[in-house]
Amino acid sequence: MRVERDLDVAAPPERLWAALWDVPRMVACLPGCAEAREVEPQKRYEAHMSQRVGPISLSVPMQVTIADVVSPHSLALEAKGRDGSLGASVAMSVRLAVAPRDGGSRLRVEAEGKILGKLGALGHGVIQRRAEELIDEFGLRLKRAVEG
Amino acid sequence: MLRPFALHRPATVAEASEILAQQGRDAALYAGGTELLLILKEGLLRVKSLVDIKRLPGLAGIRADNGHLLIGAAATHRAVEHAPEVHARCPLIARVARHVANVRVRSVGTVGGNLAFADPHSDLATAFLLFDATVRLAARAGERELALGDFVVGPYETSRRDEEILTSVRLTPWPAGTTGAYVKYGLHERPTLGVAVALTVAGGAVRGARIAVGCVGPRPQRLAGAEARLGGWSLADVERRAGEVGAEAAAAVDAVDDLHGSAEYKRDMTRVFVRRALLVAAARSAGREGHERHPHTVVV
Repeated sequence: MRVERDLDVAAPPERLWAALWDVPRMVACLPGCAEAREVEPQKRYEAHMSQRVGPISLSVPMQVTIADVVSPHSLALEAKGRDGSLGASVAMSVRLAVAPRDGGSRLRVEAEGKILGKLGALGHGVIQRRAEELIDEFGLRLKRAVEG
Repeated sequence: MLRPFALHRPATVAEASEILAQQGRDAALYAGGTELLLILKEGLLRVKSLVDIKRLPGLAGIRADNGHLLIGAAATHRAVEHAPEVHARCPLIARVARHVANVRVRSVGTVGGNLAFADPHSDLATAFLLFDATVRLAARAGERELALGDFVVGPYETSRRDEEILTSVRLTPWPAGTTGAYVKYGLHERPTLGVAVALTVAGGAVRGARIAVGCVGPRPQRLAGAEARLGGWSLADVERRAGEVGAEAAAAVDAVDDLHGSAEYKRDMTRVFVRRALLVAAARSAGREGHERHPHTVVV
């Protein structure tokens, strides 16, 4: 699955860039994310993601590795985890880029992910929609947090 | 492997709702079990208890209700297929029920379970949309009725609250002069695509059209724009120009990729099958049975 979004934020790029590194703030912006912590600043993080698809709950401890940073413009991260009881593995690559735009800034989100295991058999369509909803909600919350 | 669970057999809907309210997501409703047991055995769902509602009094009934057809949530597909009330008021539904999955599923699988599980690759919800179906949800606190389109939120998701039980579905029979068809296509156990159409014809012209498409998007959809296009057409117009309606339906349908095919493929199949279904309905309306045959396609 792949999701791309452009999000216009009425705040200067520096403020948006700083927010991306603010762990508690990011946790609040990502639906289903909890207990995130910094393992090594700007390199490694851990977070717990929970999602529901109908009656099925997915609960995954994620290891997040920052693969590439071009401060203060863009960052790329890899996130991996596994839900032991469902036997489902999640792997994601996310690229975030901040650019000035019309006195504010624009955040470009490019996310690509895979869910392997029996959950994957539920169908790509379900997971794609859920990923889009997740990133749209993230965008809304981030906008509110940075502009406010 | 099926993990151990406690089995509750409440005597009333209120009692069942009470158990659900106490246990929340640790409990799951169980009727036919045809969908539930699959995800339990796969380990995708873990619950501490099952609440068996298939023997609740009145929940499996099928009856006429003030001009409507009321199907109890615990009625099996086979009961729907054979019920005289269904044949008399919504005969298309009896024919659709006859072709749900396989005979083992039809013998135990229930209408309510099918709707509440909300598998996007299912027949019933698509066909029910043509009858302006509403569902009744009951809990200790009371009951509410919802349009089926508002009940099914997306794949495997409905607006049923944890403590609620789907008790029945209500269908509004079509006006006189209406004929319908349901055409489904699939290589697997579940359909890849299902199209339900109905034409109400009076004085030689289409006075109302209904088109629903299932399995293509996250939930079954009525396509109002494509329906409107048919208004005023003669049956000869329908037979000649059904392809235009198919194209309009394909443009409007919400399609997603899944294991049955890409969104693009499903959109194009919508175009083809809306046309085919309209041709069947138009021929029936003109008093002709019989239709073209296509591989992996069921026409009811």
